Amino acid sequence: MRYSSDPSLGAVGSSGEGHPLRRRLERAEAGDVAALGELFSEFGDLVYGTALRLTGNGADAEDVTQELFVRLPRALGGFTGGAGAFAGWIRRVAVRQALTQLRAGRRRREVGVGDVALLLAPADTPLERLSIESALARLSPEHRTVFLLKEVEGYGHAEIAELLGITAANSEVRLHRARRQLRELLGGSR
Amino acid sequence: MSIMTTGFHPSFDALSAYADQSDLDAARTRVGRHVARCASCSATVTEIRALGESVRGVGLCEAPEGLWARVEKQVREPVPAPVRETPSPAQDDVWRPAPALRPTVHQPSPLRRRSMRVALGVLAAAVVLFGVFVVMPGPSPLFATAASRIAFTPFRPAPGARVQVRYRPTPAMAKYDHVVLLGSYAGHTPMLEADYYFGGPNDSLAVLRRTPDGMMAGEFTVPSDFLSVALVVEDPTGTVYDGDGRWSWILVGGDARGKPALASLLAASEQAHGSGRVQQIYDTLQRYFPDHPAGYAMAKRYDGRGMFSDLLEFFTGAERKYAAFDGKLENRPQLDAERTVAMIAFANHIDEPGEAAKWTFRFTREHPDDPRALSAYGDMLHAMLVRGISADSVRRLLPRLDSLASLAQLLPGGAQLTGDGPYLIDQYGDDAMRRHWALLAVQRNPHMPIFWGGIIVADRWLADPEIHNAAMATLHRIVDEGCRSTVHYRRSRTNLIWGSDCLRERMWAFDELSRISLRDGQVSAARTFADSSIAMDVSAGGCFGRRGYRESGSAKLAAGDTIAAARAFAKSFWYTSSHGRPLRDSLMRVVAPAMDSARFNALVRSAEEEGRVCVRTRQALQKAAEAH
Repeated sequence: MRYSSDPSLGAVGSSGEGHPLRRRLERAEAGDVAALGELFSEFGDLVYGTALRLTGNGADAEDVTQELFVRLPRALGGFTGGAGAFAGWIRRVAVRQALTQLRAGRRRREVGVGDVALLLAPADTPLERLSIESALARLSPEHRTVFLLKEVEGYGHAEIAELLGITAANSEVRLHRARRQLRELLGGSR
Repeated sequence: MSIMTTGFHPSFDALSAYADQSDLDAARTRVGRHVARCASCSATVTEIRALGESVRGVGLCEAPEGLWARVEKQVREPVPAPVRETPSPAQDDVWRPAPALRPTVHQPSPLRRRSMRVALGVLAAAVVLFGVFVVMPGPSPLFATAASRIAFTPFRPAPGARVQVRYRPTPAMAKYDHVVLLGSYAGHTPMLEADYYFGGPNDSLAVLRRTPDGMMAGEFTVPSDFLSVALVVEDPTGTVYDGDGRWSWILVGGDARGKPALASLLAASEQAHGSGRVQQIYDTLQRYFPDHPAGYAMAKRYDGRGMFSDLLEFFTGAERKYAAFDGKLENRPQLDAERTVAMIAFANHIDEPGEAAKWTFRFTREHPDDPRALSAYGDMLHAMLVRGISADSVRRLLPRLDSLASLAQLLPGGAQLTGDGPYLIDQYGDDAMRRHWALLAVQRNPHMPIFWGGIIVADRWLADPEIHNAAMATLHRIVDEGCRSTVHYRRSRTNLIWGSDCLRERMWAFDELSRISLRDGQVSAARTFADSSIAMDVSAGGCFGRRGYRESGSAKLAAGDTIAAARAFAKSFWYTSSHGRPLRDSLMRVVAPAMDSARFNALVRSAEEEGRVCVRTRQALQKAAEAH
């Protein structure tokens, strides 16, 4: 059975001690690599996909996923929720780990040759508009992160501010700019 | 010009903030009332909300194969730990649960919220009364060039003055023995939309060198027509900049005694548009020029957002202030443009469209050659349409719009035939007006700033020889001009955006020349123009997908080379993604005589893969360059 990766759905089946996921978590915490592999097969896509969205970079997302699962057994001791809360918990950990990865790699730089082409990418006609994924990838990490945390992960500005170490007002400003740039990239008119 | 536009439509940021509110809360705001009546702003809000929905609708990518093997290997062989750039989670506390999602936040019932508001209202009233009658604070601190990190002497330089700068470097700047002071003088270089976000078309003004006390100092001379200047400090490599937060510092011109000049403050309010500093400029305007409406027209205290600010509004009396200015200025036989513009903005700001229309009529009558006249008049017509004015009434108002467009075309900045003007003329104008505006649209003023996009000449007008020739002349001028920077140094990012806009416009012009040439039966010329567009894309590091490939395909098809056309069409799909499906199907039908759909689709897939490889290669090169 594939466990639901959508935290909004809550627990699948029982969230009690006898739940298969709870047993897997306990085995993984005890150092059972096979159980960790099962967790990876259930939640690896969720962690990788979340990290990829935030970092915008496949290599970084792989690093985040690898780091998270390698350290998961030790960290599971701190997870006290029921099985139904695990997907939401690991997703939030993935968000935090991805943000750490972003901070580690973040530095101001000039726009390079590749980025020039990206700037050129906005299309000429409505038929040539970018897909939302391509447009998202063209945002700066600062703007993309806030946009995704707000629109996809569902955080409020105060929470984003805490996660990113910025002010709530700054988070709002970044969100507005991200939306403006996305709209331009997608061929908005005004 | 921002006073005008933001006074009329809510800014994009305001609409974005509005989009995040619940419908109930949003409807009560001034922006909400505007959106409820304005189809254009309502559509923008829908688009903003759809952005989030479309991202949420995209599925998560799957983890790549082999990733578990890496995890497993590291788990089973933990020593020695691989060296990686990712900091240890223990250091950053990533395992601490992130904040809970929003639905867990308690929302008081409407009744409870109401009672809380009443209680807060009483408290706020008490505070305000205390403030008004006991410790009247007076105007806010004067507008200053922010921040203790940088100081200018004189504080408000007169035109032509020598300005000394002392800068306390941030840690990022402290490692350099000198930094560069960059500035953008008001009125010197046209501002682009992107400039508001990336700091403007800055030119280098001075080198600041380290002094024995750890500061950095330098000096520069402001021009003889100095009004205000937006400034940032950049490191010698052009990588890191420092300013007033994410914005520029603003230095306002004045006289020897330190009194700011009215024109300087008005210019500075344009430069600071959108930043937190603009309110300080309004405060300064109020203090030094209390008889000028500009300081009151857009001041935030009149936003009317929330009960406390409404209460403040009662005491500060935006409407009463407006009425006072109105009574004082209305009967003057002639009024300067700045005061009139401020009154339009003020009327819009207190939501009085009739008053705004009154001042707009006066403005366009007394200052028809002002660069803001055309957009002001267009805004006024839009406001009337939003409120249900009859089509006959709009038609009676169009001749002035038409004449303002002609005048604006002669201005150095060129006519900005954007916004509602073309729509109004198209919907309500007569044939002569429509043709006039089509001609104006293709007779692009050479001094018009580059903007995203370019001109597209509607087919129906290409049959008109005058419009056809004017369009070709404009397109040839654009492709011949090249992309030369107008200043000798620009901050890198702005420069690249400006440069990419210029490249984009030239490529667009080549594409349009190709399309028109093909329509005129000049197949060879059409191919040449399309190839030029493609060549520009390649030279700029693009991985195809420009419109040039489609025009090239059309030209090759006309020349009978269907296979080559199919290849070009396939490459035109690189950036189209799912949006291009109908186009792909229609083009497949075009090339059907030469190849079946399977072969064409294989060609598209191959081209898409080629594009992906191209981007990956370029990114790898970029990373390698950065590593050095």
